[in-house]
Amino acid sequence: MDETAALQTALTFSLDGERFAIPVAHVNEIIDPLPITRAPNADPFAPGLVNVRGAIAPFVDLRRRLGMAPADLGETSRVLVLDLVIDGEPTKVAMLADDVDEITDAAASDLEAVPELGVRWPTHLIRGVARQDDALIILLDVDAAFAPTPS
Amino acid sequence: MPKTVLSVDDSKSIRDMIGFTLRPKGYDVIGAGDGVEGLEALAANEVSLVVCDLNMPNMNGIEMIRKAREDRRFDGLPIVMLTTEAQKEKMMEAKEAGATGWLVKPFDEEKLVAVVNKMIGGA
Amino acid sequence: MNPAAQSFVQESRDILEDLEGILLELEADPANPKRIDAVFRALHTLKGSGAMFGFATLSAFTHHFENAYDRIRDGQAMVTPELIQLSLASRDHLERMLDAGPDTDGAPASDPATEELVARIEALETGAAAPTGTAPETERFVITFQPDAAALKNGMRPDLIIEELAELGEATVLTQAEDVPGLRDLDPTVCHLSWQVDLKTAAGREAIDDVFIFASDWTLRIEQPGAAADGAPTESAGDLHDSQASDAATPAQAAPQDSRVAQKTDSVRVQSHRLDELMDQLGELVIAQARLNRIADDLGDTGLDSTAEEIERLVTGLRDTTLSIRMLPIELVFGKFRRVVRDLSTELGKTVTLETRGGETEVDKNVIDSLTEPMVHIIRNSIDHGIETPEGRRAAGKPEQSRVIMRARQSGGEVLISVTDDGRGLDAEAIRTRGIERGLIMADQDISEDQLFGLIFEPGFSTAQSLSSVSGRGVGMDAVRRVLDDLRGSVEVKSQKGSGTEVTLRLPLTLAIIDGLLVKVGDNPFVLPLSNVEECVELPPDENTRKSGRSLLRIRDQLVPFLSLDALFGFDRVESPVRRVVITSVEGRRTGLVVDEVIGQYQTVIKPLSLYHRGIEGLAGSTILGDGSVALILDAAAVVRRAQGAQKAAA
Repeated sequence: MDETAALQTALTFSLDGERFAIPVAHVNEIIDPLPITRAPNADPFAPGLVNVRGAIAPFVDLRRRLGMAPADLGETSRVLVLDLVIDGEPTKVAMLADDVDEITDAAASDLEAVPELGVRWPTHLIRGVARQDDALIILLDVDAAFAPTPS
Repeated sequence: MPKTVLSVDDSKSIRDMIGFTLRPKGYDVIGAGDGVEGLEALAANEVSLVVCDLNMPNMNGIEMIRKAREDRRFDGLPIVMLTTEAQKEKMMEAKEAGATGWLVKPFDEEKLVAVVNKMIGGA
Repeated sequence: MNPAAQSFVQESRDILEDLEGILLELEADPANPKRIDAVFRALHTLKGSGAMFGFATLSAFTHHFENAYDRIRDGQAMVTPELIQLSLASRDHLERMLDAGPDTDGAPASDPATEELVARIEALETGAAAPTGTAPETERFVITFQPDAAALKNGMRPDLIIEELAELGEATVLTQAEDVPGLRDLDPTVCHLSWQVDLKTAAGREAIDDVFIFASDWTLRIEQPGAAADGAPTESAGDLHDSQASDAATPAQAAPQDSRVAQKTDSVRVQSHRLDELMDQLGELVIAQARLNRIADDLGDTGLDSTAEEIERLVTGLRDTTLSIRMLPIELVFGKFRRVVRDLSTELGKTVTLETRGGETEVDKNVIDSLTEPMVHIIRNSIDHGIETPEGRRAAGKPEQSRVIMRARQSGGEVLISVTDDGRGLDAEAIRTRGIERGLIMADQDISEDQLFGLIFEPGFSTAQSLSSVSGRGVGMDAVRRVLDDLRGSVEVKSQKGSGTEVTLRLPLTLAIIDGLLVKVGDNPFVLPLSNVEECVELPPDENTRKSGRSLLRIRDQLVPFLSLDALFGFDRVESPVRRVVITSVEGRRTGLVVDEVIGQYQTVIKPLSLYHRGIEGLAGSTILGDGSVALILDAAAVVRRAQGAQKAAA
């Protein structure tokens, strides 16, 4: 994928105090938290399913993949419903964010390579880092960040 | 399943002749004595082809064809008129009413089989 | 491709599929005039319509093929094994020609494969009448015609006209479809096509006039281009019949299709994705109706209650009708195997007859679609491993000719399909040895023969002594089970050493909707397919105190092993006053599943799981309940298997 084009319009959200971004093209809607049905013996990254307006979507836990502690639901918690292509199959996926910030138009030139050191997440999940008003925004590599865990 | 040919004729000998000629060729042949009976037979059977005389009591051939053509169920059903050379005008009238083709009396068996095959492509 | 050509392609595929079956039946009964006629008719139709829809090459090829059967019909030739072989090859070739699409320039192009087959067909005609090319003067005519508006309604058949012309000599048919209007304006009873036939014939002009004897009121032009002025048709040479009202606004769908429709007015062809959509929407309706019921229950309004009941009744009726639309006879699957069996037995040098029974049993079309693959594995296994060589059979005192029987029947909400052979049967000892080798059973394990045979469905299991090209590579039967699992079915095998093997597939009638039992494990709702549920009993209080593992429960003098779903699922135990045991029956064995609550019967639409959850053993799908929550649908067979696996690991 063309990295320079990747960050043109992105939605930023917070997880554990960090700001992450994914291209808005992947964002279907943002809704209030929903009851989750637990799937037995499921991969902890995809622990359950939710009903998004009559469609059943897998619920993924990005915190877990990023090595963060589980969070409690808060006032600002939101569910992002994403349109992803998983192994060639268009799939609607739900994930919980602590807060949804904004749609940002970061210039492609703002995107920096991922520093080898100083980032606590697996670098293959990240496409790059952008600086905005001195804050760091981490652009996720959507394919890698949401890929089902190989069994 | 063999194709069914309906012979509508007030003359039993013509009906028999058509039956004797076509049955050995693999067709089923059923008969009706006039136009009214003909339409009834059409409605009650799966008929592939009609061989129909022109002059008959109760309902003549042209009227029967016209009635049959009004009925969507019989769209595409080939109807062969039996005529004599002397009835050229009747022939055109029949064609207009919806006849598919004609057979000129007197005809021999070979001619009958040829026309039937021509209409419905063989048994 | 225009719509008329598309429908020709579809019809032709059906014809070719039937043709395969007829040819194989003909092989078994070579003198049967009905079968010979059926082959001839199939070819005849292909030839006639092919030319009309731009498949002139196909039509020209079919002509040779058809001639061979015409001669058999006339008693000038006989059905021989070579002819059948060649016919099957020609049939396959026709399929490829269909795949290749219509001719690009209307002129029959020749390709080596076609020519080779034609040469072989013609080589069969030894001693037959000389080819028609002996006539002295061959003239060329270009015939252009368009049927009048009423022609089709009045029973005229342009396809037969083209056939008659083609019978006069060598004809190249060009279909002109420019006048075919859009579907919206299309009147199917009117012929919108016109044709140009380039005919080389020795029969003379009179014979052509004769072809059009009943079509004198069509737009018709018969031209004889000079041999020198090859090519462009010349207006002057033509003669124009009275062109009575060839209404430009109402030109045509094709005739052969008409005739087909006329024969089967009681059936309609529907694209399968429309049925899927219908089913999908019905599924939504079932869910919405469940929600309505719940709301009606909560409100307790009698008017609303009775309306909700009425709607429930209607939805159930609609569901049954819709499901019945999707049902297809299993013969569609069986039919495919006549060829497989024939080819395989030839390849392996075995003589096998295939018998099918219960082909009229109906199954949901999605089940049908998924059945081919497992059936291929089973049949291959039977013929390759089960059935002995002719020498082997003689030595065993069996008839040289072996039999494979495919049977289908409906039983309750299930369809049972079995494949039985009269071969050597499974070798229990070899399977035991292999099972120990593969670590599937322990060396000293006491295991019933049925359980032992069940091992052949384990991944990577194969006892074939020699690896033939056909099967025995350690794949196959495990694929059968995988597909059956996906279909919410099961597979079992019975075998008698020396006398044969029977593999039975159990399948649900439909995949889209199941009748289930709604239960709760902890706070999580699950649906168990009702077809696997025998009864529900209370869990005796003393059993409730056990923490995990499998135990036995006495139900009417029978000991039934049971296990706790929360333990199996890794859920925390919740306090519930009366836990219940759902007694399931899978492949004839009973297992109790302990749940916290049994809510009741529940008819539900199955939604497939996403890739995140599809791999979890024991889950068959998901559904939305009346209160909007998501419930998981369990695959009872896989749950029981998983439990057995867990116990094995613990042991």
